[in-house]
Amino acid sequence: MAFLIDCPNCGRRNPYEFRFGGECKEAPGPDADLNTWCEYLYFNENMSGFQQEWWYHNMGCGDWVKVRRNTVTHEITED
Amino acid sequence: MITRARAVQLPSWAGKPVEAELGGWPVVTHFEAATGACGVGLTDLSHRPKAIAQAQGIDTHFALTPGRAKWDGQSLIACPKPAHAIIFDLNGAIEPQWPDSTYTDMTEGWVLLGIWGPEALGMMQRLITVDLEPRTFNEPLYVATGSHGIRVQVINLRTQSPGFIIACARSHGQNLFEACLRAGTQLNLKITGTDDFYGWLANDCK
Repeated sequence: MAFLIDCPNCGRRNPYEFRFGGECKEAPGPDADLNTWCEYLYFNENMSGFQQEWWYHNMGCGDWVKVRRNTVTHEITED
Repeated sequence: MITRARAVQLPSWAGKPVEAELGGWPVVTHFEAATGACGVGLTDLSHRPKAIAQAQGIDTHFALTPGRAKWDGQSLIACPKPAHAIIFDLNGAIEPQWPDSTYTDMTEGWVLLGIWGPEALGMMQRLITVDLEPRTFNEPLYVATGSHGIRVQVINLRTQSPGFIIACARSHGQNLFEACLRAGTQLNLKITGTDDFYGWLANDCK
């Protein structure tokens, strides 16, 4: 993977220091039905292009970082 | 009485260690017949008290920002992220004496190695890919990163001659120690006792 991730605590780091945490999705409310929860947990957009993702800095500060990454080119951009 | 096991096993070429008991730990103070200067000194400091402190405002209490560290004459204190601090007590009492429950004792959880001497930066650059000598500031630097697939914490003390502290989980201590030995092979690395480390610390880290 040829890109770097900006961690707010540690600075710009190699992505191998991070663990991919999946797409950023809005969690269903407490009254949501089972189908909504099932969709939230098991289904992804898998979009081609920019998407918001969670990355966990497991080798560094241990914080979750939100990253906007192009899934085709690995380009990282600001929000 | 020695009640705790040393975190790393020393190779036979290091020489015959002279050990003392400190707080139940077997501590190598020096090696018999050790002579000459070294490019890099590698010292096992795992017996020293270590802790994580987590509380709102603890970083401001220590006047630190993420990625910075400071030496207060007794401890190295580092800030990995807001509301967190890491403490490596190098000169205080051997039994951990933390002020309150915001401190989690990590003395038996982490291995702590001192890496010091004129070639220490060169050796660290073989272990760590992150810039350990940024020119944007001169204070001690804290970095949490990976080396050989192990999460390590590094403090560059920014002393007159290069000096670093590196820590990792005790379960990976032997792997990190051997990685240090390999990285220092061509840099005249010597395994030293605590006497040499504290001699260097007293001279260079005032």
